[in-house]
Amino acid sequence: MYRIALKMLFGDRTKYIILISALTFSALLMTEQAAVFCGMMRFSTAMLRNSFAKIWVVDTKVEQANELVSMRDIELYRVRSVKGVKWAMPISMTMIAAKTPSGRFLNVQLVGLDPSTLAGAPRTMLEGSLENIFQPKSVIIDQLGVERFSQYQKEPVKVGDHFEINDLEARVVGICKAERSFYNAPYIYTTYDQSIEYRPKQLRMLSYILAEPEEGLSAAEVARNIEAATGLKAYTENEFFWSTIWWIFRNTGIPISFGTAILLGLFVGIVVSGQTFYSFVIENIAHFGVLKAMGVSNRVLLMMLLVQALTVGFIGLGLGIGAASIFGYIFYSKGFPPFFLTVHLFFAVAVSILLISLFTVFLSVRRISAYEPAEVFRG
Amino acid sequence: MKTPVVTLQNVQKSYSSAGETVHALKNVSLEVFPGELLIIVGPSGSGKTTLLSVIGGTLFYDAGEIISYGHNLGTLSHEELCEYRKQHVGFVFQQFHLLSSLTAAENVATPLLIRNMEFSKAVERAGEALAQVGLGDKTKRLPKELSGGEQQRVAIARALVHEPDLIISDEPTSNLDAKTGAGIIELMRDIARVNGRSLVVVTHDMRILKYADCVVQMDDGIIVSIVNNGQN
Repeated sequence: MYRIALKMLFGDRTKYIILISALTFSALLMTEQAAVFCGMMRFSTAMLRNSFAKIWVVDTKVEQANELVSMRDIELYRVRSVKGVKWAMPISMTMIAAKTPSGRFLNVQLVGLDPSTLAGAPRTMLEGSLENIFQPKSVIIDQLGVERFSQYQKEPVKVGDHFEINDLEARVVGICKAERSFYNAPYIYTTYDQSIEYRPKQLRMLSYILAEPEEGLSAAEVARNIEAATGLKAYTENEFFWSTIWWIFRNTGIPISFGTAILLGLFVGIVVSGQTFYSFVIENIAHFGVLKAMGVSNRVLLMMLLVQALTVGFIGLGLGIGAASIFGYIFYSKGFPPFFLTVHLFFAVAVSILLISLFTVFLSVRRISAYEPAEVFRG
Repeated sequence: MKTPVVTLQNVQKSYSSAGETVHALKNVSLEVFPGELLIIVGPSGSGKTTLLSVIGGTLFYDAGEIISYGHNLGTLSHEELCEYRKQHVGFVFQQFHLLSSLTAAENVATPLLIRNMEFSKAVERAGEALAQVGLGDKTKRLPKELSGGEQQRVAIARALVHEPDLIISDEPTSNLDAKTGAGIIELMRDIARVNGRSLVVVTHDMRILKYADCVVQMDDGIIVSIVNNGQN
């Protein structure tokens, strides 16, 4: 009977194509928008993965990873003295304009690393060596930096090239791999002392303190110790990640904007496929009545409807996810817009399409159940 | 003396329509014998189609009793009535009601598929049934590629393929020209007689009455006359 159900479905080409199109559009829109949103959330927390640390200590007012409120240098020593802290290292970060070799200005994120440990340094070097950072006026740039600094030049920027930060020379001694940040500005890594040279002078220069708990202690436990002892805010990596995400939810229109697009995809899927499937069933109601007259039970008819709805659902899901993946493949290689399609996201979209398919069956099944086979005789 | 295979005793059925109760069947009693072509005639609204529906087990009745092939239809649940129709009844409709996206053979195979027969076997059996009605060479045609008479033959093959005991047909010739209609009713009668099946047909087409073994005249929900041609 399921073969007959599928033949009935495929036989009505127009409705079949409308159903597939609606569900494909719905899956594509939901997947693409959700993946770009997840990509933006990854951008917003990129710093946590670029400079890995179990505990991040920041000014008490800082609520998210991209918020830079400088602290006094003495706070580093206060953190180091807290019970349970194995080590603590400073990181200075600031957004600053760099003058590219072509003479144009470009905003960069300047990261100053502790010279003794290089805690928070990029983990993957593509060219050059991390140790070269100890040379005077040396910096390591990321791939985005290479791309941006190379604009308006014949040759791409390479190790050994120079540019300027705050009128001071900066020599590229390495190229690293780093995740893009929310501000979409390249990361420039140098030593803590060198970064202070580059930055405009201000009283407080310390942006983050990276800390490690002693063995046997949890990051959360030590973070609470730091907060109690210093009055600073201490996050575990996970806490800082979610604090950043929730800050974006609370303080920006990004989730509403993407959420609206995702709901629009869901709405279009429900309305168009629901209406089309209902109309398909109504147009075939006499055929379903004939099947009932022949002895097909309501349960089997329900299964036939489910087979039809789930078939278009799976095809639409596959096409939609596929199209979204192609979109992601094209743009992810360029790095912008951000695109992060996870297995969880795939399943969430699949469940949404499944619910849409079940909803279309729900709309139609009552009509079929209530349809008396004797009505076929009445024409 | 043959024993009736379907017996109706004082069957009543009424509908509510626009706040009024319409008595479609009023104490109808009737017997259908094996191998018999029973034709029900009467004006519109006389209760013909309702009578056909209750005999076919597609409609519950209010009172009375119908015993069909050993089943008391009034005591059967929805599911049991489904099973009754699946086992004992074949249907031929005025509008043919062939599934447009299925080939002739697939349409005919449907009652077998309902019985969970394997698809390839069902289509093979359907081909044999189509050959029986003279359409052995058109098994792969879609309904839209067939004439009205051919479509009705496909519908007859579909009603017969699972070898039901009783065939219920509503106006099988009304959408056909006189010659084709006569051919169809002859075909139905012959198939019924050969296999001892009973046919109950509702019609307005007086030209086909000559083929009937028994003609039941209805008016206003009651049987006003039953004319046998002498065979039973």
